[in-house]
Amino acid sequence: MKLFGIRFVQSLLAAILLVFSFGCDRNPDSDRVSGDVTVRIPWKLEGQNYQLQNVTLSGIHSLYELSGDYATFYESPGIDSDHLVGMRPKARFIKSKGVFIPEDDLSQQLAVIYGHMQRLKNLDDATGASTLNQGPRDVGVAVHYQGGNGADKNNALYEGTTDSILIVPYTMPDLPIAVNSGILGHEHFHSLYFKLVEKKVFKQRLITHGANVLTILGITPTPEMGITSTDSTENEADFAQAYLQSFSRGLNEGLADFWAWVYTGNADFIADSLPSELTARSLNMDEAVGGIRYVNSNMWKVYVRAAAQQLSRTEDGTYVGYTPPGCEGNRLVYCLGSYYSRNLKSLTDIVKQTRGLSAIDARQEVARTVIRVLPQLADAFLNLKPTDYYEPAAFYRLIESSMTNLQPQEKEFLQNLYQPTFSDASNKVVLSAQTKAAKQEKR
Amino acid sequence: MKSLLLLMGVLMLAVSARAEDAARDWAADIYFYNPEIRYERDPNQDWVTRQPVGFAIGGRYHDTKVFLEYSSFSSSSGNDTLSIARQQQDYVLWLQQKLLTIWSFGLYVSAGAGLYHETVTTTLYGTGENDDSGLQLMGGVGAGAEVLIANHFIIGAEGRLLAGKNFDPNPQGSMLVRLGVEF
Repeated sequence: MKLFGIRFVQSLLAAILLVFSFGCDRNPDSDRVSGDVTVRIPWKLEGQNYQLQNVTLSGIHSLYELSGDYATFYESPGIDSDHLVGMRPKARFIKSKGVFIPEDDLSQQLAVIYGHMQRLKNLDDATGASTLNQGPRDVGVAVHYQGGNGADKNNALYEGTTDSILIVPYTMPDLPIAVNSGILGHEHFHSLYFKLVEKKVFKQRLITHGANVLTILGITPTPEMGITSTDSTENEADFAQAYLQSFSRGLNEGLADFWAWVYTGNADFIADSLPSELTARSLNMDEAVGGIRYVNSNMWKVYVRAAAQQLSRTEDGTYVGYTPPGCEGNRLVYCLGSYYSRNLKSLTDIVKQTRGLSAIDARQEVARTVIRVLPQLADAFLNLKPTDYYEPAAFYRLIESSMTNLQPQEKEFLQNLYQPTFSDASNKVVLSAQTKAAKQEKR
Repeated sequence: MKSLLLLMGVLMLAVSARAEDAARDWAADIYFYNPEIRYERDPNQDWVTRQPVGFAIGGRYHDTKVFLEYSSFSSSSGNDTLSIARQQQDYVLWLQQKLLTIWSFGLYVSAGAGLYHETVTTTLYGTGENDDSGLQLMGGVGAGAEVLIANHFIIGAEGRLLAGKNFDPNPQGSMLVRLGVEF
C-alpha cells in the first residue's frame, strides 16, 4: 500500500481552497444583482406580436428572487393572516452582453410578471389610481387552487383577502398566461375594482372565476326546474342581491377586459392564451353576439334566472329563459361583461377621433373616467333598496357625467346606450335556436 | 438486475486481479465514457438531477493522474409556443492522487479547476434565439475508487462537489462512473 506524502497533502489542501474560492457563494451571482436590470423576455409592443425584447426591470432588490419595488413572488403559496406565505422561487439567468437571459420557463415568467407589475403601476399613476395599490404586489406562481370549477389550471385570479394575483399552472400549448400582458392587466384591474367597489359594497371579493349564480342563490340544480310565472317563489330581496352580485361581477370582468386593452392596445389579448375565449371576450364589436350594444335590467334578470335555472322552459307567454350562446351557467358574467368592454372600446375610438389623440392617450383618457366612476358606482349600489335592481345602462350615465371635455359625438354615443332593448312591461324573449333544437329533439 | 450483476462481476474481477499500480511508471489514460448524476435545484427549489455525459484524456505518473475532462448536459422547459433549452458544457483539469489500495481498488482524492459555459435557446412562436454565458470559472474536489483490469481497462466511481459562479446549489454534488483504458 502506497501512502502519500505531507507535501502532497499540503498541495491538495491548497487546491481545495483554490477551487472553492471560485465564486463559492451559497447563492448565484444574481442574488447580488439589484437596481435597474435588463432582461430578455417575451414582450408585446403595441401593434406587434410577442417577441423577445430587452426589457428593463427597475427597483430590483434581488434578481435571484425577482423581488423588488413592484412585485414579491411566492411559489405554491398558502395564506396566513390574510397574507400569502410560502417559499420564494429562485430565478436563474445567464448574463450575455450585459443582458440577463432566463434559463427556464419559471424564471422567465417571473421576469415578465415583474415587468408588467412595474408598468401597470405606471398606468395606475397615469389614470388616477396611484394610491390604491401600495408597495410590491404579491404574486403567487404554480398555485394549487382548490376552488374547483376548472380554475385550477389555465387561469389567473385576483384574490382580494390577500390582495394578490395568483397564477395557476398552464397546460395548453399556447402562450402561457403568466406571459400574457393583457391577462396580467385584466387581473391587476380587479385589484382596483375590489378596492373601489367590492370592499365597500360587499365587504369581500365576490366569488372568483367559476362561481355561478346557483351558488349565490343556494339552488341545487335538478334536471327539470320549472317556473311558469314571473312571480317566482324566490324571495325578492335574495334575487335582487343575486342580481346585484352577478351584475357587479359581470361589470368587473368587462371593465377588466377593457383595462387589459387600455394597457396593451390588443383587443384580442385573451386569445393568445385561451383561443376558445375569442368570440365571447374580444373587444372588437364585430365579434359581439348579435351586435347587441346594451343590456337592460329585464334582460339581466332573465339572464340571471336562466343561469340559475337552466334552459327548461315552455313558452307560454309569461316567462321564458334565454342566454346568448356560449354564455350558459358560470360563463354568464363574462359574456355580459363583454358588452361593457366593447362599448367602452367603441367610445375610446370616438374619443381618439374627435379629440385627435394618440391611441394610448385616448385609452388612458377613458380609463381615467372609469376610475372616477367607480366610487360613484359603489355609492349607487349602497343606496339601492333591498328589492331594487341597478339598471345596467345607468353605468353609461355615470361615464357621461364623469368625462372631461365631453364632445358631442361622445355624448351621442353614450346616450344611444340608454335605449332599452325590450319593453319594461314584457318579459317575453325568444328562445335561442339551440334551445329550439333541443326541444324538437325531446319531442 | 443486469446492472447489479455487472457490478458484482466487476468486483469479482477486481478482487481476483493483481494490483496493477506498480506495473508502469508512466501511462496514458483515456476515459471514454463518464456518465454522471449531478444535483441541481430548480426555481421551485425542488431537487432535480442532471445527467451529464463526458470523457477525459490524460496521463498517470506513479499514483498521480492529470487529465482534462469534458462533460455536457441539457435541460428544457416550456411548451409548443414558448420554450427554453439550456445546455451546460464543462472543461475541467483534474489532478488525482491515489492514497491507498484496498483489494486492488485504488482509493483517491482529486481536485480540479476549469471553465464552463451555458447556452440558452429561447424559442417563441417558432423563432429561436441563442445566448451564451461566456466562459466562467468552476472547480471541484472529489474522492473515489478505481480499479485497473487486465492492465488496461479502468473502472471507477467517484463522488464530488463542484463549484461555479452560477451553480445552484453552490457547491453542487455529483456522482459519476468512469470507464476508460490505460496504455
